[in-house]
Amino acid sequence: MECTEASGWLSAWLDGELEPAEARRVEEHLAGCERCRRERALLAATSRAVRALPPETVSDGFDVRLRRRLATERTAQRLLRARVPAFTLGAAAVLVLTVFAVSRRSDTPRPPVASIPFAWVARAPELPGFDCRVGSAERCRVDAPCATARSCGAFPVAGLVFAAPGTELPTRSR
Amino acid sequence: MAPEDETPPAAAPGGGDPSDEELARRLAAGDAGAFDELLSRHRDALFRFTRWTLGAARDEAEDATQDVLIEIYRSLPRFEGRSRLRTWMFGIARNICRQRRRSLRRASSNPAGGVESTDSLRDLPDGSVDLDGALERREIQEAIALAIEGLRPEHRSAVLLRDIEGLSYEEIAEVLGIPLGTVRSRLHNGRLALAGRLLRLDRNRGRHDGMH
Repeated sequence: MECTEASGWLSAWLDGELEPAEARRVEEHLAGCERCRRERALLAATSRAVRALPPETVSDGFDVRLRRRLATERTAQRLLRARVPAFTLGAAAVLVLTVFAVSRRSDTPRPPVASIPFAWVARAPELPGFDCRVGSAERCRVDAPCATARSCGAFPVAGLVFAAPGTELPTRSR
Repeated sequence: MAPEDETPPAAAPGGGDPSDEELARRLAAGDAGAFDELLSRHRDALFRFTRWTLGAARDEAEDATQDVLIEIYRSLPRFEGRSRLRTWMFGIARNICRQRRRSLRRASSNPAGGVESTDSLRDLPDGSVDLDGALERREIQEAIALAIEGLRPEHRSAVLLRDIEGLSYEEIAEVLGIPLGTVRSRLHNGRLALAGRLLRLDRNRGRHDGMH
């Protein structure tokens, strides 16, 4: 074995990561090569130097920040599990697109607010509750039946609340 | 002849503590406390890996580590147990670091990275090498940390995962997504480059006593 080849294997030999046959070849070379023995010693000392470093740890506020984020994540996951089935989402999407297409073809004048074919009022990160901006004094929860469905025509789907065209939508927000 | 250095102990829990994989199963079964235990075991190691990989300041590295841990929390239900959980978590950290690098368009986070050289090792010092004697001094530890920061990122990751986190070559290959042979060469070249930096540091400070 030449020095070049032996050198390339020295770290793996030090780490005990060579096959037995490979390790024997390295050891045979080391027995007769002062230069490679010096390199081995240097590599071993370097490895020890790195291992001797005190392990760096996160700062004191890290866990508090993480727990806050995890709480949000857990809430979002609970809501995802409680969400309406996928086929309902698909049906809602088709409904929205159909209503939107029909509304664009209609010559009927539409009230200003209702000219919006659909509108969403909140997204999942704002959960679990938020002020409904399309009517009702109830706080809206997308994981529960929409309290505004009968009064304003809005309906919740997957974290968004939609309202069909022609619906008289109160615009006040709280 | 036996290797001089023992493989450092893995971070796996000992005694009667549940394994990482058992904790993952408990979490999947709804035991939120299992994730807290996993956090306490691996949070700091993931932080170190993220920091070294990004070559980032502490604040930025902690932000990235939070992203890593949230992603681990999200993905744990999909953990299939084909590798050790610790290896799998480091893999997620690697992916998050890649995304961060791309988004930051940071070609090189470290101006010293990529310029390392092992030329000085062509002329190795005679006699015993005594880097160990000075290691208790804080300034030397800081100098070593600085020397590690100066390594190329791919060398830095390999050296860190082996010498600080104690991963096997096979685990390093899995975490970094590289062949076993590449792990060998990266680790070896990283250590050589680091040794060269430490030797130069020693020469610059005029402390040749332990080296010659």
